[in-house]
Amino acid sequence: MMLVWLIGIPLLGGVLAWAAARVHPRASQVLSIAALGIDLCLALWLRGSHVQALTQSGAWIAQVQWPWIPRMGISVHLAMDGLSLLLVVLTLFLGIMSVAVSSSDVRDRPGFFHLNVLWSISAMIAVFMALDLFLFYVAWELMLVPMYFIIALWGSENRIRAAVKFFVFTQASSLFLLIAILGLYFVHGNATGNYSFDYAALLHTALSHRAGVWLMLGFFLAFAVKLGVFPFHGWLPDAYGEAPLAGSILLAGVMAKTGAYGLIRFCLPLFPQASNSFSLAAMILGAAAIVYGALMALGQTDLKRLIAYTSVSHMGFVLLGIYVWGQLSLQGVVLQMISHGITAGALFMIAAGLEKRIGTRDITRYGGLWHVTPRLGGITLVFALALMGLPGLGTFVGEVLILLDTFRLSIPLAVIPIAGTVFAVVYSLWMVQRIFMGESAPRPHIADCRGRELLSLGIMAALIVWLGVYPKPFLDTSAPAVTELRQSAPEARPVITSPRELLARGLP
Amino acid sequence: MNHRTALISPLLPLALYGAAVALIVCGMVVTSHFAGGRRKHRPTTPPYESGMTPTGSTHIHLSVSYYLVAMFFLIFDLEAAFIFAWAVSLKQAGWSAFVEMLVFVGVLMAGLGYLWHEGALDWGPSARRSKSKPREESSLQARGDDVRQD
Amino acid sequence: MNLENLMLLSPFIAVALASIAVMLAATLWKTRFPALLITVVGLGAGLASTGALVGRAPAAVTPLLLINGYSLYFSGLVLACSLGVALLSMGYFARREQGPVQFCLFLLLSTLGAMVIASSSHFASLLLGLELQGAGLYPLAAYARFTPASIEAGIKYLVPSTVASAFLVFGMALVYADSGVMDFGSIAAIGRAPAMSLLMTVGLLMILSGAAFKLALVPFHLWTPDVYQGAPAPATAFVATVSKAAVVGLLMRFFAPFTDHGSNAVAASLWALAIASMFAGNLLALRQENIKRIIAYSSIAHMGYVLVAFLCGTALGIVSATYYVTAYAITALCALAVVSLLSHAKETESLADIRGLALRRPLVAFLFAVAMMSLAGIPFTVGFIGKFYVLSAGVQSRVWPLTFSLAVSSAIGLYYYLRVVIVMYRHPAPASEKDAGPSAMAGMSRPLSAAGMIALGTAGVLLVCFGVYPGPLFDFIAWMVGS
Repeated sequence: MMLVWLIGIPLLGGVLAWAAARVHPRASQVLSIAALGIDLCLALWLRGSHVQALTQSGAWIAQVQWPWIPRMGISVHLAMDGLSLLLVVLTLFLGIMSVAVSSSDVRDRPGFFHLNVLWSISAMIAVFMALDLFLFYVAWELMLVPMYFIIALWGSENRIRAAVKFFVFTQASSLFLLIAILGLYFVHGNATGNYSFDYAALLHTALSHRAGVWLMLGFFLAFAVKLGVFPFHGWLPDAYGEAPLAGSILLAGVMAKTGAYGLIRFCLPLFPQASNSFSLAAMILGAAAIVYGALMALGQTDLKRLIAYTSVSHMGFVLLGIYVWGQLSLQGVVLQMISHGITAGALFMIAAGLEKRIGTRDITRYGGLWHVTPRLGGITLVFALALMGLPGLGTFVGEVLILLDTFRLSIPLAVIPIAGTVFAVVYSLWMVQRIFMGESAPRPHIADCRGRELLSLGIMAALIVWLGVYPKPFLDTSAPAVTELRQSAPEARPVITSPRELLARGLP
Repeated sequence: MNHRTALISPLLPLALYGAAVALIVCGMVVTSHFAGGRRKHRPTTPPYESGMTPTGSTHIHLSVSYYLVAMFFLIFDLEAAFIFAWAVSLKQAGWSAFVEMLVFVGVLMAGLGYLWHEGALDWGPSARRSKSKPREESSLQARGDDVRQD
Repeated sequence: MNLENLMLLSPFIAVALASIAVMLAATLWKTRFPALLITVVGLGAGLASTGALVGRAPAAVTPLLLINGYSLYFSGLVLACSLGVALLSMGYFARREQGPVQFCLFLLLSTLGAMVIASSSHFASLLLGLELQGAGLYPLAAYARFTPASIEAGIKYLVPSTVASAFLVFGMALVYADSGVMDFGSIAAIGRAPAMSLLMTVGLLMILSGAAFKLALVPFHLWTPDVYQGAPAPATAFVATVSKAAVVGLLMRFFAPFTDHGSNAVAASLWALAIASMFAGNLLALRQENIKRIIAYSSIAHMGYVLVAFLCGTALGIVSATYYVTAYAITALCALAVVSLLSHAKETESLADIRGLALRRPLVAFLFAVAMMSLAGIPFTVGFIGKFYVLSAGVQSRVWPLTFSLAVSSAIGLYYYLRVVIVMYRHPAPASEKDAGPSAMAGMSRPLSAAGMIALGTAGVLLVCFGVYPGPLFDFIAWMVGS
């Protein structure tokens, strides 16, 4: 029942915030933060009260199931394990941050804005908890609609084009997901006579190799588009760049993670053999994305697009780690997702702050800001270092865990990402240099960050340090879930021992 | 194969017939073109109207009422055909048919009443002018006056 | 004609009586209200008597009509949509000088024709139904006869429709010439036979082209955008819902035996029609600026989706297609109800007219947005569930070309549905551009008609209800249609 509340509170809060905006625009923001805060407390309480369950491998923290469309074997099945919990907490945390910092650029219809933000958060939480594939698809689609409104109504100049591109890309790919879900449903139903969309039922479906590969590709396409994997990332820089601050934070921080979550929870466990034969291609895509994203980030002058391309690069790590399918690499993926969510969110906040101060996102027109805004500069430096994966910060732990496991699998595959991190050093430091160092253009007085902006950025900086120094609580939370997932699909782990064999096998 | 022969055999005479017709018509036109004499005088071009010289335009407009009359005649004439068929077999058809015919005539009457009320039976210009609905009628009237030639 | 048969015909009788009553009422009272009231009551009575017949054993009333669960479902759908259109026209004509009497009359006659189509089991009744439905529709499309667009709509519907009817009759004649039968049962038996003669195939294809014209499947769709645009909004709603539902009912009943094995020419043509309609409909809608034209092109695509489910040739396929038609009818009614409600002296139909609608009329804009989402197939709307069922039928039967065409074309379609939605939620154009449309702005502050709001509200509630909890409706359709 707690899980329903977890989804329901933001929904209700959204309606209340919408109504409250008629009284006072500020009231709507306060109500939204309150609703998300209550929700966050609820999620943390779930973590606290179910420590027992977390230590026993495979036990779900909480689970509910009601029939929905019994004729088709569809039920409302929500469940939460450590992986879901961490992502839900991340969603709520970034949700609070995004609402808290985006009051100033949402003068127009604040009530409707908060309604959309809260509803999209609610749908994303549902995505992280749905265990019925139909329900998952519904939530997967529904999170797009409010996000579409957020981009199209409150974004910058080319917002409508970006919003439509975002929606059409993701929806087109998810129609193939729907077809693949239905294909799996019928294969399973025809074989066993039990027609069901339930995750547990579908988990060990016997598939022919060909059917498995096709269905797996349907799943992969949808998740890869959402994740922004290299050849499917066309919508991503536009959407991230044109969205308003809250939209960018949620897109980069949470929505990209739904793609990774889908791969971990559904794509590999449901199609272990097919994923195994596809994993080399996927890992190469991941490694390519790391380098490609970093190189593209080097060439950007629009600050938000630059951050968007660094996301492409970081999601490459996530893809690589998922398909390595080892205990370490998956743990690393979880940490990478959380720390990237925080880093990207903070960087978008910084970018929005700079845009408000200077009036442009063009990085070449910044410069010499360190003297005027030392606090902002310091915080930016922290996150820039996180971006390049400096030891002691969250991203480092995630990347190292992923690379360790990759190294055990295949040395060449691990070398390419390391080359990518070299570019990461270049773009992140160069970014700081171009913004804060060098000649200062003559401009009116600029305030340094303080108050709410400083507080939220400070919290995020503290978190990223915590993740880097003491990631154990996070790893402990996700460990049972990861173990369980790996045990349910041990075949998904690729076996590549040497470059010679890699060449001998050829590309699948 | 069976199907094809079964299909072709009845259609073959039809096709032959069509070909023959086309051949004869073409032959007639072509022969008259070569064999017939040609004159180009003034009186050969205008249309023949019982020896009179035609006057006025060839595009004659008829009043809308003319078409209305024609349509009503067709409709009510057709109903008469049904009633006639019923009347000659009155005894065999029995009472149920009588009831059915009453319903039929009732529907017809309702339709007639409706037409009457709509002014469809007022063919004179004066009667229509006195009708209530000003905008529709005036524009219809204007159009009617416009097209009337005689 | 015994009492039992009269009972089975009661929905038809109710509608027919209502049309006569409308004529009589027009002669007795000068006001416009009785005609509308009689229409609504008559359609309601027809719907109620259809409901009362549910659950009876299938029965043939004369060789012409077959009353079974299937025909009752489609008759009920037709009547419900027609009732919605009647409610819409109440509000629509309250704002116009032109009287609604003839509109009601044609509406009732056309509905009667649609019911006959849905229940026909013989060529004679099919033709009768089609002509009755068409004869009512031409004047409905041309009803606003003082605007050239409406006259054009009427003529553009009349002329091709007549040609289509001629094709249909010729096809019937060929089928009869080959087989010597005219009732659907015997023709179905021929359809199940392994081979078909050439004459039969040609005849069936001609019948198919006639039906395809009525459904506006590509390449028989050329009339659609102009008719949708020119006709008064309630008439457009009628064309989009009643006439489609009836003809889909006929198409599935008549051609189902021919889709069992996909090797024959009829099934192959249906495949081609489906794929062409899905792509052409969605692609042609991309550049439109007029809401009614957008809905017209989208209706072409949606009829293609229906064909996908139908062509699966399974029980799930037929039920899914029926569900989809129902979903489409509810959604189209909802969308066109908004257009009709907002129209005053001039129709509100261009995208510029509805810009900023959400700020002035949040509820209407929300319902219109939900209708667009339903057409686009976003979850929690009936359109999504319909598309889900269609896709599941397609996947179950492994008709991959059709399934993938559906996925790709509906992704294309998203673009224009989203455009409509976002226009409503934007701010109105700045004052300098606004001088062209003061009337459009004035119309936005008028009170909306209560009857129209009832129709819109009902459609909107059904749209969401069947989208969130579709189980009962699906079971009902399976029970009705499966028999």
